[in-house]
Amino acid sequence: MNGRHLLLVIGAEARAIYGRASAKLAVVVALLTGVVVLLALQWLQGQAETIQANGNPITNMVEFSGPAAAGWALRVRNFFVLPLVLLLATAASFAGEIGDQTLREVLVRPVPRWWILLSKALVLSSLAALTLLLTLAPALGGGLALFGAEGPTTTGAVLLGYAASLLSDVGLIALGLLASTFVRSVGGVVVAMMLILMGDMGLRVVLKGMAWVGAAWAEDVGRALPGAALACWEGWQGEWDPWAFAGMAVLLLVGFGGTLWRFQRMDVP
Amino acid sequence: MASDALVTRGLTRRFGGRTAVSALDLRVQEGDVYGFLGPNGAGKTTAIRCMLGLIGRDAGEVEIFGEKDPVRQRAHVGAMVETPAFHKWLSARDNLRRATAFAGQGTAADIELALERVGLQGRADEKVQGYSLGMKQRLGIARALVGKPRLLILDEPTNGLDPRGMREIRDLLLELARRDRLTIFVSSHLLGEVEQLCSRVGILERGRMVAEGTVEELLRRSGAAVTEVDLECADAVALGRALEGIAGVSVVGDGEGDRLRVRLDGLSPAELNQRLVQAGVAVSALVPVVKSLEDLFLTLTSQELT
Ligand SMILES: Nc1ncnc2c1ncn2[C@@H]1O[C@H](COP(=O)(O)OP(=O)(O)OP(=O)(O)O)[C@@H](O)[C@H]1O
Ligand SMILES: [Mg+2]
Repeated sequence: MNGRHLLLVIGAEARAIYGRASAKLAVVVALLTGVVVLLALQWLQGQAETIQANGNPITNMVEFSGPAAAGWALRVRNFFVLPLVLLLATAASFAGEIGDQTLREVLVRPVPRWWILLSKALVLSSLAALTLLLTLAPALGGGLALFGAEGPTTTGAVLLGYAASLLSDVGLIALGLLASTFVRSVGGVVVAMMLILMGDMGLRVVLKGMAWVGAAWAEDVGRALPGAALACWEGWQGEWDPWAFAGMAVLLLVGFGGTLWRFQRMDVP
Repeated sequence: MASDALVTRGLTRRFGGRTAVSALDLRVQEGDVYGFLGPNGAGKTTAIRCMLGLIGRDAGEVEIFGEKDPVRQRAHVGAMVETPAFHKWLSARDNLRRATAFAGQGTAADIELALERVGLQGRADEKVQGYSLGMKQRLGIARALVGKPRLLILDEPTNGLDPRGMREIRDLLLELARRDRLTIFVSSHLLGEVEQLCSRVGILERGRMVAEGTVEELLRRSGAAVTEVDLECADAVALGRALEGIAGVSVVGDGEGDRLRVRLDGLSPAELNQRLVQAGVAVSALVPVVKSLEDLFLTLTSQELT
């Protein structure tokens, strides 16, 4: 049990997580997202004469620039496919390993349980970061080459959006790990997360309604719920919502803390 | 004096209202090959899981080579619990590499040696996906060997192996004990196997240890009074008639070969011989039926599942 040992464990987790189909899928989808968004913008620019809205050519309404391409790629990426694939990778590495009993095979080794959680969280976060880079690189790089940097969207703002997306992804990973301590199958975790986020959405509607009839605090609480916290990255387009980040801080604390607490006490089959 | 490799004191684990392991006291000395016996549901796997820290315990403590810290304890242990599980999309060799990473020790040479010992070196680059049950079992044993363990904890290691495989694993374990000086704790319900393999045995029944000692000790304790003998006699009719006249003897049925098996009740084999001679029956052989570990096991453990 020393630093070298911990590095070996992280390396072994990396090999397992990156070796799974879910990680490969994440990498491919991330790269495709950047490239496809770029190509779509390029195609749209070529259609300036044919596609018009109220007599205005499309080029007047859509921003064509490197940062704008990167921004569109980020919106598409976060729409739902990549978070879902990341959630799959998370569930496969924890709920999946509990279910197929491979987790037992590492727990009989001289490693504390928190090492295993730490390794999984780090490697999954690195996968999230890698997918963000794989989307950003072609979209921003290709966009700058094709359209230049001119436009209202700045590179700095878009990069902040990508950074905040990493935070959102880590929050999702934390929730996925926590769900894995309750439901010991990959499908179960995905279903549980969908139910939670749907409930969260419903709750936010109710809170909005309460704010509308006069309970001012309700709106702020709604803006800090997990669903809103996971959408904290959206702030790059205009204003950052401090409530979303406060919600994210709570989510990370509850997600990782709760996972650790439950895992330490868990009977592993 | 040999030092203790594995000690449990008062180890207890309940599932709801059922006590799966109950105040288990157990002592395995360095160099022992310890057979952990018990019928289905006796609590063998549960006890092993508690020792390895896979599941919590309601009471009791575990010491491994004097070490009390559960994480550091496991640095000495190579374990296989129930059916071994693998990352199926990785090759056998990569699964063993993964095991050495988590063990924090064990080299590429250790991996090759372990593969060779279980006879898998030729197929180590195949994905575990395509492995048969017996191959996975062997790979599980190889994995238990790669972290430079001093103590092997194996839960029914020959489960799923063909007769040759069982023999090979038994020989391997004996070699590991004799040549590599490993201490081995092995659970099983294959009594013949345990008799050939183990220096000490503990018999578990409904979570409690009902007998512990060397195989000879246990057999002597249970077989102290020989209760059955096989008789051989040229004149079977005369023998039968003579037996009817002796109190405390009843015919059980056929014994080994052409012999007749009788049960003695309050009569020693020598006394029986004397009476038969007095009755004028010449017995050419009188063989006490030696009880096996299996008989002892069946006497000590009940049939119904706990
Ligand atoms: N996770 C669990 N939840 C509830 N009961 C359990 C659990 N694990 C084991 N048990 C119960 O504990 C008892 C002991 O089971 P265990 O698996 O330890 O037996 P075993 O001696 O290994 O049996 P076998 O020879 O069949 O492998 C059984 O009655 C079993 O039903
Ligand atoms: Mg068992």
